[in-house]
Amino acid sequence: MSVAFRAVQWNRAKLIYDGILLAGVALYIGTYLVLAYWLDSPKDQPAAIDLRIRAFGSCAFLMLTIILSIGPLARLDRRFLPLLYNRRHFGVLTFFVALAHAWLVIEWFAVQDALPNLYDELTKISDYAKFIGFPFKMLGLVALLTLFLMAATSHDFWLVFLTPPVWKGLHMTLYVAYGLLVMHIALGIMQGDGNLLIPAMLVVGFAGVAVLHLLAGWRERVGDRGGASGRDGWLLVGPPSSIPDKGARIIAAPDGERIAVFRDGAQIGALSNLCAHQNGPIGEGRIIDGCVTCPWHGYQYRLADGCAPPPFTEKLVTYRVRVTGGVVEVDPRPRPPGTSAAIRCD
Amino acid sequence: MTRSQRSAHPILWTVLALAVAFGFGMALSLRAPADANTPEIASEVRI
Repeated sequence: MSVAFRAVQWNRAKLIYDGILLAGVALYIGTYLVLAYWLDSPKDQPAAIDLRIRAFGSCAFLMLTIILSIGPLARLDRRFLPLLYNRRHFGVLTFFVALAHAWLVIEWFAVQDALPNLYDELTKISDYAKFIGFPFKMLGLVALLTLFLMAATSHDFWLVFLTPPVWKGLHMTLYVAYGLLVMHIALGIMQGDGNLLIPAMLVVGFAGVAVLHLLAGWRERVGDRGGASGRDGWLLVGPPSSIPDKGARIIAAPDGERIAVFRDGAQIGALSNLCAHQNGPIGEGRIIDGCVTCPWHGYQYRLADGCAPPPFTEKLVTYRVRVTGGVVEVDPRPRPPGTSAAIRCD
Repeated sequence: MTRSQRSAHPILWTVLALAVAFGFGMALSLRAPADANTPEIASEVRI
């Protein structure tokens, strides 16, 4: 892959994913508005716009909650992996739903000729010293700008240009945006509406996401304590049969970096556990068509040398492997990406 | 995720969860009673 821009390539799976996403958003907003009109029909135009503001705003919050749950859920249970494949499409759609929410807020002020009030609300410096009365719209605006940054850099062009570690670090600011969004709702609509559903939605959403992330992090921390060392500092993996055929065992080097030890029949090889695409957990993937395949987006590498098959050019760091006394051992010192290192243990 | 990102992850979430829990708890406890929320002018309406 080069750094040149290439348009998003849709395939059947992505089209189905996006179709379900759009249908879900339309269904949520449609149901919300129908129910709201049925329960208490709005009396005037601003009240009608206000309903749409709430529908789009709550939809954006729910979508962000789901997006942030997908990562830890996929780490805790592989059955959630399909949700991860096109998570970026989910994120971009969330930005547009949030943008519609912000646009409706402007419209709400505009139809009442009260746009200067919105400006005053955002620029009254003394209010920023208050807690109740804080210009909560600014919190939403910062969260929206963060979502825009995520959406604008979601294309693979930016992933390659920035490099996966920097890109991933940048996209982790989404967590802060989620916190800002919770406070935007808590200091905004929750203060003016006695409905208990709003605090309940915030507690269930945020606490659920936080617990999932902490659980997944704790589980990974246990696995990162480092493998047992054999002679010369090589790491003990176990007998070849302990590595699933066409699968891998993941071990941690003393410095904590993960190594994926794959077995393809009698061939054993060790690669970095970080996919060159998005730093996905390559060791959680399988060997498909003779190539190690990342579970996140299907990027493939040869087990023998960690190189992607032509015409692709990605390369993974490899590690030397040996079998001593029937036990597979791995040298934790990385070899240059694309260096042959796999062995046969017939 | 790289090792440093995996390390930062639980720290970031712990700090974020505590900060948001504190802010949310304050916002909930300081919330005005329901009958005191009747807006009078557009700029006071919270949406």
